[in-house]
Amino acid sequence: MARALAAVLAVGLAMAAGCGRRVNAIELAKDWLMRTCTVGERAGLDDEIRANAAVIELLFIDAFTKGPSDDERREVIQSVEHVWTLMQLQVAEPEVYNLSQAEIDAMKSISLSEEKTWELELFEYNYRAAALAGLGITGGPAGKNLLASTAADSDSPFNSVATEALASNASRQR
Amino acid sequence: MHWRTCASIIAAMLALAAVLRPAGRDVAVRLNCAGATQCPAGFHGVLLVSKAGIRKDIRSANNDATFSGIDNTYTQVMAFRTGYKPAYEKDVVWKGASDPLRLNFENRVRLNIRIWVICPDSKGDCDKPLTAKREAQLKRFVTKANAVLDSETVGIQLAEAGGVLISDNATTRSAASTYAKFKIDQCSAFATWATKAQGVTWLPEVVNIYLVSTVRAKPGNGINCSRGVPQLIVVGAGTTWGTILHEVGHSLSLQDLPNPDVAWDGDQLDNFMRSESRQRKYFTEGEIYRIYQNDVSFLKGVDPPNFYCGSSDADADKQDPPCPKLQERVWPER
Repeated sequence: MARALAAVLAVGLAMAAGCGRRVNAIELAKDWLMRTCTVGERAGLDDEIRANAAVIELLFIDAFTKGPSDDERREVIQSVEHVWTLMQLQVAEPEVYNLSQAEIDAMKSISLSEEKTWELELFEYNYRAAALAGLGITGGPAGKNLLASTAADSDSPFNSVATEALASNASRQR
Repeated sequence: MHWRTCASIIAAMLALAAVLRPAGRDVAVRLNCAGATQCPAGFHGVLLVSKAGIRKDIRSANNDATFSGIDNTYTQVMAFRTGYKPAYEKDVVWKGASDPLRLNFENRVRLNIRIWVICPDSKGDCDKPLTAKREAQLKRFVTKANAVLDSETVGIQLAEAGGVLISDNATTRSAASTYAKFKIDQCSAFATWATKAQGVTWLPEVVNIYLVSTVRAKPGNGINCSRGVPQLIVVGAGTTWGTILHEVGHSLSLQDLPNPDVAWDGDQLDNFMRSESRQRKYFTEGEIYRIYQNDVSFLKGVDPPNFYCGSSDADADKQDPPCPKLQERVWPER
């Protein structure tokens, strides 16, 4: 609890320091963490992140350390349940959906609990990896330290992503 | 007769004609499924498009969709239902409710895809084979994507090109590792490299999907590198099925959301073309219209493109025939 409060306080102080900026740093960080399409309409996202680097770096460190929030996890579960429900409706009335037997069998073979587990695993992994990739943009000392320690940890599933983020930060500074 | 009297009479007649001119007529649309006179149970959604706007109706199958007050500016009809390709007709000449416009839903369009494994490991160890779990996830992508595409009346069925979904011999090609950690500026070079080896790293007439370690340092990212033909989508080793379907949407001419030039009622986060989302669920009928009518869509592949709804609501209005707005829905999102 004390660590959570300290993190919130740190983010709050950093945001207060940059409160003259119009850009909502939390929204920018969220955009980066959730964005999965590389060519979006917001080509200037990197620049906006750099312009708010002090605040966003703390958010990215927090995102990597804690992973997604319970609300974000819940949304993933709801999305899995939505598709699962669609498949159950289709299996129940295959003629309405003009389904082949192979399609029906494929839908029946999917287990809801496994789907939830797999989708959550992917989401959490991608979320934390995106936070590290973001630290390659912000490039502050705390972020670089986290990247360096993660890159050096051969047991970490994120060491390759951290190495890539460090390299991308270094190439920007050249 | 004095010319002034004549002019007054003519003016009065024109005014009377304007008042008496019918505001439009009652019309009907009748739909068959794959040539059969009866469709399976379900609902049909029908969209009429004119420069003045759109009209829509939802009817249970085998009942005519009916509209009143339709004038000759409503020149396009698109109809939607689960299990079939949308029916479409332009340059429509309406005859009245007793003589319905007849349209036919054809079977879903098969969109062939192939997944080429360049580097299946998010840690960048490209010598590692695709794990059984990841293979199962990629196979489920097709099942889940088809469930959404069918339910959303998109009328497309993703299918394994040549009966094969995943090819893992691409890793052996020289320079494959160059693209394992895919950079945003590598699309052009990658397209040249990939298309040099037909059957090893690409197939024509297919949406080619490449599995790499990361895309722009993120294992969950995707990027669509297509420039007309060939169709090339690059995705990271941790990409979810929803992101792959989003990238396929680009191949079908759809652009990322949000778009400041497009009005949108409701929450865009739920739309498959939202570029940052964890809860993609829907396509709009406005998007489905573009998938089938935009010349740049892989389904049409008209080169050079002539018809394109554009990227804004203003562009959509200006086209001939006009396009419905991107956010247009026949059914409210469920």
